[in-house]
Amino acid sequence: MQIKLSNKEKSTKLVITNDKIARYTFFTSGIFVIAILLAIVFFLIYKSGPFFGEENIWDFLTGKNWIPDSEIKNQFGIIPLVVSTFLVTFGSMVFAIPIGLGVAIFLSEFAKGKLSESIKFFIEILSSVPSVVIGFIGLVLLAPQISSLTQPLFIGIPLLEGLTVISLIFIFFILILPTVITISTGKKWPLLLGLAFVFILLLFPFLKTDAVKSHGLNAINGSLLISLMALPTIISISTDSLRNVPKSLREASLGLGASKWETIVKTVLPAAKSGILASFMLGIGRAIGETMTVLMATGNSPATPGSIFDSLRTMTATIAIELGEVPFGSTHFHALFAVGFILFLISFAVNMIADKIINRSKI
Amino acid sequence: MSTLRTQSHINTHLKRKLIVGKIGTALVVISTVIIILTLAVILFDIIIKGTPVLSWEFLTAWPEKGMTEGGIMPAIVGTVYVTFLSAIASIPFGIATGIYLAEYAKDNWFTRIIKLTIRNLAGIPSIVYGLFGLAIFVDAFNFKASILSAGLTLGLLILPWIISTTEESLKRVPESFKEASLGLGATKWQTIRKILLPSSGPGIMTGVILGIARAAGETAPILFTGVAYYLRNMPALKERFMSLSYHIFTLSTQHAQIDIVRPIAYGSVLVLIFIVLLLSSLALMIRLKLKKLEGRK
Repeated sequence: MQIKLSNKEKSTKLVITNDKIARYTFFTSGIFVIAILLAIVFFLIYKSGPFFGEENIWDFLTGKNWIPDSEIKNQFGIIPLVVSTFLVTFGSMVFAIPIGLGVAIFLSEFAKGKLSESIKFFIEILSSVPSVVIGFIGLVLLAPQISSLTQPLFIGIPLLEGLTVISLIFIFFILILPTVITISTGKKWPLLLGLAFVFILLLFPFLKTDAVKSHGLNAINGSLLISLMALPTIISISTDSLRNVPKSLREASLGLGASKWETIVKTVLPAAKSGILASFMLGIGRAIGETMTVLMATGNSPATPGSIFDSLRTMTATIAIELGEVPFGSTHFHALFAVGFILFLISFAVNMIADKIINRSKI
Repeated sequence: MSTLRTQSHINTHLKRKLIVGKIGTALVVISTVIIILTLAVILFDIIIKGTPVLSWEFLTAWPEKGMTEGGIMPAIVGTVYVTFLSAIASIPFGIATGIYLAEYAKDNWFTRIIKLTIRNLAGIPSIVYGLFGLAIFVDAFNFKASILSAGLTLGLLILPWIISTTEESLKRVPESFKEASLGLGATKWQTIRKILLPSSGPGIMTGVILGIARAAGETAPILFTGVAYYLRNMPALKERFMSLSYHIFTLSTQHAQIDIVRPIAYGSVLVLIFIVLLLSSLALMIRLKLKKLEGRK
C-alpha cells in the first residue's frame, strides 16, 4: 500500500530534489571548466600534429628562418618569432616595471580617499581600452614621434655610436630602479649590476640604429604600447600586496626613526616582495599574449630583430596575419597551430610561475 | 669639539635622508602623472579627431565606395550582436561555476585544480582562443566562420573573468546571512537563490559588465572565427559579420588608401571606445556604490 503524501510533504520533497539538482548542475559546470582547458590543449596538439608529421620538430624549434611561402623550399623556423616576442616583452617591462611600481607605491603609501579612488578609476579605464585602439594609437601617434627621434646622437664615438634619444630613455628606465635602491639603501651592487647590464647591451647593436630615419614601426614602438597594456595588471596586483603589508611593520620602522621613504624601501617593499614579483610575471604574461597591438605597431617583418629599432613579428602577430590567408589543412596552416601550441606552453609556464610565487607568500 | 663634529655628522645624515625621501616621492608622483597623462593624450587625440566625423549618417549608413565614404552601421550592429552572443554563452556557465566554487567546493585537490585551471584560462593569449574557436566551433562543430562561432569563442575568453568575480562577490556576503537562512530550515539552493545571489548581485553584475566590455573590444579571437572585411547584408546567426574592432584594424593597416580612410578609422575608434568605456564606467560606478555601502555597515 502506498503512503499518501500530504501537500506539505510533497513540497518538502520537491525542495530537496531541487537542492540536489542545483548541486549537480553547479558541480557539472565546475567540471566543464577543466574540460575547456583540456579541449584547448587537445585541439592545439591535434591540429599541429600533421605539421610535425611533415616537418622535423627540431628544425621547427631551432630554425632561424620563417619563410612559409618560399618558391624553393618552405622553412618553418620559430626562432625569429620567439626572439621577437621576447624582445617586445623585455622592452615593455623596462618601461612598465619602474612606472608600475611607482604608481603602486603612490597608491598604497601616499594617495588617500578621493585621489586614490580617481587614479584607480583612470587605471581601470586604461585596462579596458581595446588592444586594437592601442595599436591604432601606435600607428598614428607614436610612430611619427619615434621616427623623428631616431636620429643618431653620438657620431664617431665607438661604443656610443648609433645611440638615439630613445635609446637614452631606454637606458634611463633600465637604470632607474637600481639607482633608487642604491641611493636609498646604501648598497652598491644594484647600481653596479644595472650599469654592467647596460654596458653589455651597448656591446651589441641592441640599442643602436643604422637608419637615419625609420618609419617608427618597430620593437620600441610595440614595447611602449605593450607596457601601457601590462601596467594596469602590474599596478593593481602590486598595490594590493603593498596594502596588505601590516600597519604594525610600518609603525615599527617609523618608530625606530626611519623616514617615510626608508620605511617604504627597506620595510614595506621587501615585505610585499612576492606579490610584486607575481604582478611582474602576470604583466609579462599579458605582454607575451598581446596580439593586435604588436601586429599593428611593430612593422610586420618576419626576420630576426637585432635591435630595438628593427621591425619584427611576434608569434601572436604571425598567427593573426597568416592564418587568414592560408588554405585550410595545408602544412602552413598546421604550422601556425604549432606556433600557437608553443605560445600556449610559454604563457602556461609564466602563469604557473606567478602562481607559485603567490602561493609561497601565503605560507 | 667632538660633540660638535658628531652633531654636524648627524645633520648631514638627516639632510641626506630628507633629500633621498624627496627624490623618491617625486619619482613616485612622476610615474603616476606619466600614466595619467598618457591616457589623457590618447583619449584627447581620439575625441578631437574622431568627433568631426561623427554624424547620424556615419552611425546609420552602410560603407560606400570601398570604405572611403558612408558610415559604419553594419560594423556597430555586428559588434553589438557578437558581444550579446558571447554574454549569453558565458554568463550562465560563469555564474554557475562561481557558485560552485564559493558555496559547494570543499578545500581539496579537485577544487585546487579547478581554481588553477581558471587562472590559467585567464592567462591564455586571446589569439590562442581564436585558434581554439577555429578548431572546435568552425571546424569540429561545423558552425562555419559565423557570428555564432565568434560569439562562442569570445564567451570562452571572458568566462574565467565572470567565474572569479562571481566567486569573489559571493564570498563577500557575510557568513551570518547564510547561517540565518540555513538555521531557518532553508536548503542550500534556497539560500543561494533567495539570500546569496540577491545580496551579491551588484558585485556579480560589475564583473559581467566588465567582461562584456572586454568582449566588445577584442579582435584576435574573432579574426578566423567569422569576422569579415565587408558585407552587403545584416549579420545572421550562421553567417559572417563585420565588427568595429576589425574594421579599425583593416582601415588602418590593410586598406589601399590609408590616408583617405583615416578620418573614418578615427570615427570608428571613437565609437568603439565610447561603447567600451560606457560599459566599464557603468560597472565601476556600481562597484564604487557597493564599496560605499559596505563601508557604512
